[in-house]
Amino acid sequence: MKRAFWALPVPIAILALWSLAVDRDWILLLPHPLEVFMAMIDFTFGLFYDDAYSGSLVRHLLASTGRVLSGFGIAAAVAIPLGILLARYEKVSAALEPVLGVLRPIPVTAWVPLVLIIFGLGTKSAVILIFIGSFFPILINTMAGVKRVPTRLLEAAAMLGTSENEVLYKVILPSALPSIFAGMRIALGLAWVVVVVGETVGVPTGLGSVITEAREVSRTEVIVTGMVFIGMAGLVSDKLLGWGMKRALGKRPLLSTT
Amino acid sequence: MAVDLRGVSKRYPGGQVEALRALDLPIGDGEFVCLVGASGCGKSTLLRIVAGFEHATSGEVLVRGKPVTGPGPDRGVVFQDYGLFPWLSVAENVAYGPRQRRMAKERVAPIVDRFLEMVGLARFRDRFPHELSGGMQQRVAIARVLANDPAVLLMDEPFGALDSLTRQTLQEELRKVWQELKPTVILVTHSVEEAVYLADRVVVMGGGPNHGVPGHVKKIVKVAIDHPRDVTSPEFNLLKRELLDAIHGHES
Repeated sequence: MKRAFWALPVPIAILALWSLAVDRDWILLLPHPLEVFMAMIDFTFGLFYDDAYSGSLVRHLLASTGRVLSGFGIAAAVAIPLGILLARYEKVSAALEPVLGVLRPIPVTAWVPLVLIIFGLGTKSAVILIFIGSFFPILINTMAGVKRVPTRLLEAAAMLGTSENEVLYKVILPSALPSIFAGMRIALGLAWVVVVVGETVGVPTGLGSVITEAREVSRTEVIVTGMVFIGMAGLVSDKLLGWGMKRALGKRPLLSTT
Repeated sequence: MAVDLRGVSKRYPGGQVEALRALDLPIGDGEFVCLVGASGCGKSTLLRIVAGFEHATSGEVLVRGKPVTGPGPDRGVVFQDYGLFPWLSVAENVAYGPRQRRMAKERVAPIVDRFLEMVGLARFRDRFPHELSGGMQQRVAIARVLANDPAVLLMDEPFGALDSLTRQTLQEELRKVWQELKPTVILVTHSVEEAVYLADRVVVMGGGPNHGVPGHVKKIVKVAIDHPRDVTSPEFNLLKRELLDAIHGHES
């Protein structure tokens, strides 16, 4: 409860300063918090305005979430096994590291033009961009986690009769799990960034398309509404991922990463 | 013969000095052998070669007549830092070896119970390693290798990280376990007292990179005192003195 008490003043101050800034015309064209609030209600339930945005939250949210989950899911499915291979097999790493080294610094935004030309405007491009954005955080963290598996635990497993194949499931994966999870968390956050980037470039659905279209008709309160929902969606998905990981582990302690 | 070291030499790639040269050491079934010696004499290296974590440059190690080619469940290792799996409970750690050998759950359970009972941790079976003290974790590690019924127990300064009271308790418990099960044990230690308290034979090693000569066996001392040994008795202390002289003295 104490925590809730401390959590209140800053948002209230921001809202107060915001309404003051609008009332006094310090910043022109900024929508009033109340306008945004009304727009959020209307966007969610469609009670007030009956325009293109009314009651469309679920449709856009589902579209964005679907893209995030597909891109992120495919990235995890490829990057985790690949990260393990790269960290464990010298030859795999020698073969792939130069290519990955060049691809890694290319920002997702630099992929946008090429991806759009090849795959066109639409969901496919958005998912591919999310895949690219989520891939490297998961790959790098998986590799780091696998490389950091304590030698002692590998020795312990070996002297207890663990075969080469089983050591992956018995020791390497459990040891690397905290690092893999950390990578997935970063990647999911990035996926929400990338979905908005993807959707601003001409997909008719999704929260990113909502704010882009609202700009064209100068509906600032809709833009802010879209931004708030993107923030909330990112927050909720991060919490859900954390909760899911906790559930999957039960109360098993993991290797501490210190 | 439980373990037979035949002309074991070890040279690290690029190393100027050999870590070990032409070392012979036969160890009988059920024998408790302690390796002592100054730092760098190669006693831990020797143990790791028997464990199969490192390979001899020349010579061979036979365990029950079979040459060692890598780590295996016939040689249980107890590490100074325990090496328990943090995500497995105490009971799961002890069950790990037998389960790895595809032993049925119903057959593993009594084994786990028996060895946890033996090391006095039956009440802690569902705890995780990080919830236990160092001494308790080392007891789990000992139970874990005993559950695998190894031909030889290799212990690398197993009590080196523990405070002196816990250390004494564990030495006594290990002595009791050994008297009950009579496993073959090779234990590396810095403590001459620990060696004289536990061993049938104490192997003093010397040399190493700091001395410009390869690690080798300096002296082997039989300890013919009945268990439990009184660390304050004259005969105990005479042996201690003899060993300390051998460790620090010049080559004879």
